Amino acid sequence: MTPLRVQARIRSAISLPGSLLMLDSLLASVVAKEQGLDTSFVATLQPTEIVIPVAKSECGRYHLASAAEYEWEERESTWVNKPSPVAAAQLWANDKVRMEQSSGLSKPWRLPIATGWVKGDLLTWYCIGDAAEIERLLSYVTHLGKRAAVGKGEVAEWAVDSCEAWAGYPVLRGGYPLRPLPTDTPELAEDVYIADGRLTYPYWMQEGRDWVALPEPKW
Amino acid sequence: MKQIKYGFILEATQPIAHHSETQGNTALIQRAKVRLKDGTFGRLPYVTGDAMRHQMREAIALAYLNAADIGPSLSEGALRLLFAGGMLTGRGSGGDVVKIDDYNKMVKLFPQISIFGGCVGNRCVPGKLQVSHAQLICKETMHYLPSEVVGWLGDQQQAIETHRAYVEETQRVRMDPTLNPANRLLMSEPARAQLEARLKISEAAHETDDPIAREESKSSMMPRSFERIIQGSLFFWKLSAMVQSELDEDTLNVAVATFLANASVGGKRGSGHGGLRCLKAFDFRWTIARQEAVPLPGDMVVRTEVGSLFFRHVAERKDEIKTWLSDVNA
Repeated sequence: MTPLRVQARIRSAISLPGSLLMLDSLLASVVAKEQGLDTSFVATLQPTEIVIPVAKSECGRYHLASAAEYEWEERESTWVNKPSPVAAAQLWANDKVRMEQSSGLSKPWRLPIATGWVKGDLLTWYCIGDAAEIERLLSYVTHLGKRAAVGKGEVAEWAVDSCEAWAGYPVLRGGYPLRPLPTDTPELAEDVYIADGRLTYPYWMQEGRDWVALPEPKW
Repeated sequence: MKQIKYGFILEATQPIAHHSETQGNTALIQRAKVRLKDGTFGRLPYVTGDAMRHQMREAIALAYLNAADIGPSLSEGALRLLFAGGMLTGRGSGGDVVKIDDYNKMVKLFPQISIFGGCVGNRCVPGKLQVSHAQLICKETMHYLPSEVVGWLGDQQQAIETHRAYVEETQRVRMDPTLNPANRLLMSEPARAQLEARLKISEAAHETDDPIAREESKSSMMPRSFERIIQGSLFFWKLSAMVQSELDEDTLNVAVATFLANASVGGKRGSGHGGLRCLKAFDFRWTIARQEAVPLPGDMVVRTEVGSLFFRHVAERKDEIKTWLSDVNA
């Protein structure tokens, strides 16, 4: 396990609304798929069953891997449209179907979604881990962020390189967290951003949430 | 687990009218910000990944109904699931408990949900498919194309122009049928009298230059203009998926092949727009980290084995599928 810098070069607009893009959860999702675990059932599993090639903290509560670092260069708002399947209903519905268009489950909707281009087209993470295994697992990750199913956040290239560690590497820089950290972490600055969250994957899960120190939200 | 990545060069056999919004009575085509080769940004025409993915979903839905021998008998929930990915209905047994047995049965009876994902009952099922937008091939997007695609374009001696050359604005007029005297003969007597009274008011309003009366008595003729991507334009379109079984892979291939066999996208398809055809398919067996992209010989869309597993799988379960679809909450 060595200090590593992981970079993804993105070749499209990417949608990252608010939440952190965590390296450990990316790796865990690939490992889960390799093990034949469907990610929709991760909630039924103990998260520790999914072992990733990244070192854990001394306290064992989180992995030594940062959230993605990036800066926005250009932003754009676009739309997600969900049309009602009216045309299909004309051909395939039974006689009893009355498709309501102004309300209910078949009502079409149009939601705004923010996308953008990051500076240098690069997302950067830091971690302590096994470079070869991390590179192998990341080669399966073709898209990042939301709306990946329709081509947002396409990864052109992954790069996993050795790097110099600094004090607090890879989870703190100048006392400010680079990933969700316990609030009792030594060397944590006094004015860090504290919010409700999890310390390890799956980060979307409600169970196990607590007050944690987080990087400042981007938007 | 296997990663699949396909790329396609598509040709617009008809103009593409894929619009983002209307300003006044002018429809504007979809454009998105793209980083240009010199680092600046431009807004370039494209066809959204949403549109391409939806057409794939529709194509395989029709193939599925055909294989399961299902006619026009679907419930509203089944329609939503097949043609729009379903909705979280909050109904269904189990509350917030994820039932793996139910999920496995659903994937067995409805293999495409494993690839496309969707919502059934109280559960959102993640998909395995990432469909890119169809990128217009123009001078501004050449640096995004894989080297194999650039090579193929060179071999075909395709001249590539700036994106502006591929967009045109056209006008159509919705005619007012009442302006044709022959049509008026088909009207009932009272309706014709009412119409002729309106026409007289309209004529008088023009003579007196009365804008209010002219507005109130104007015909329903409606000229409107719209942008469209011209016929013959080329697009590069790609998709990737991480499949976990042979059935997954075959289902994906059926979705691609059935879509490309009769591909169309965008609006105004009832009046000669939206047709696409595949000129070249690339089967990229690659890993991103190593940047190996090796196109295999032959177009995957004409492989004879595509769909044999999917169609047999569905046909063998058609009775079970009919029962399941009749009470699915989606």
